[in-house]
Amino acid sequence: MSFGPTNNRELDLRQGEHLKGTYAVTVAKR
Amino acid sequence: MRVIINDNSTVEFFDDNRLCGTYHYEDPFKSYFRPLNTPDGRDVVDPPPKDHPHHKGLQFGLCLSDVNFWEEDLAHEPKERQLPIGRQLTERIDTLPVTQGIGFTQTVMWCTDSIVSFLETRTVTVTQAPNAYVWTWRSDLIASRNLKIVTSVWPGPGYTGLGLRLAQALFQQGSTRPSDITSGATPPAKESRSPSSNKRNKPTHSFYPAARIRQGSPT
Repeated sequence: MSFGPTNNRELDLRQGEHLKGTYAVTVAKR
Repeated sequence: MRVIINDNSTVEFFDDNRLCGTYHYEDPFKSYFRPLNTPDGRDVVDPPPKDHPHHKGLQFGLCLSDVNFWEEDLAHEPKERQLPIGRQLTERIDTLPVTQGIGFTQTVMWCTDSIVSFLETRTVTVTQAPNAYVWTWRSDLIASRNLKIVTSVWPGPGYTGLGLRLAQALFQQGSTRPSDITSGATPPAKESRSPSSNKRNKPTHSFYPAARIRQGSPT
């Protein structure tokens, strides 16, 4: 599985523009 | 907890002497985590199967209109969209000062042999929670040229962004949280809350999905 900015949409970026993001992934035991 | 950058192309995270995860930073196509362990030492990601060699672990990929940074060879690209294969090359990697957490910062150049698409600053940290490790993955990609990020042509929600191939045991007795998150889900985009890292007043496109993965009991 994947989680991201581009699923189901396109995105134009011009030179110098930022694509920023933060993911949190918790890996736990039951 | 502690982090060690090894000369053999890996970063290892330890909780005392227990391995929490290993990050591979010299892969020719993309860096990735594998294993990614629960506190009791169970790996939640599967190794890549033969028919999906680009599913390496916890990894980050994108597809552009003219370069593919997800699949890694023509044989595994969609037949209807065969693009040049891109590489995420590590330019630099350093452990973070302890005051900034247990983790590393990595400079990644997204490129083909002839063109650079992004320069990325990636920061990954880990903290402890009750019976859990909480990983935070921050990516700041600066476009090196005008470009278009495109959706996956594969049926379903697509395969881009932060992805992992979960260990099969998770599908037998485990769960993903929040429960309404499905593969490829796209939470609403929000504006960056870190304006200090975008001082040139350029537009910033942000994404803030969060996945909670709870280890099941393998049968």
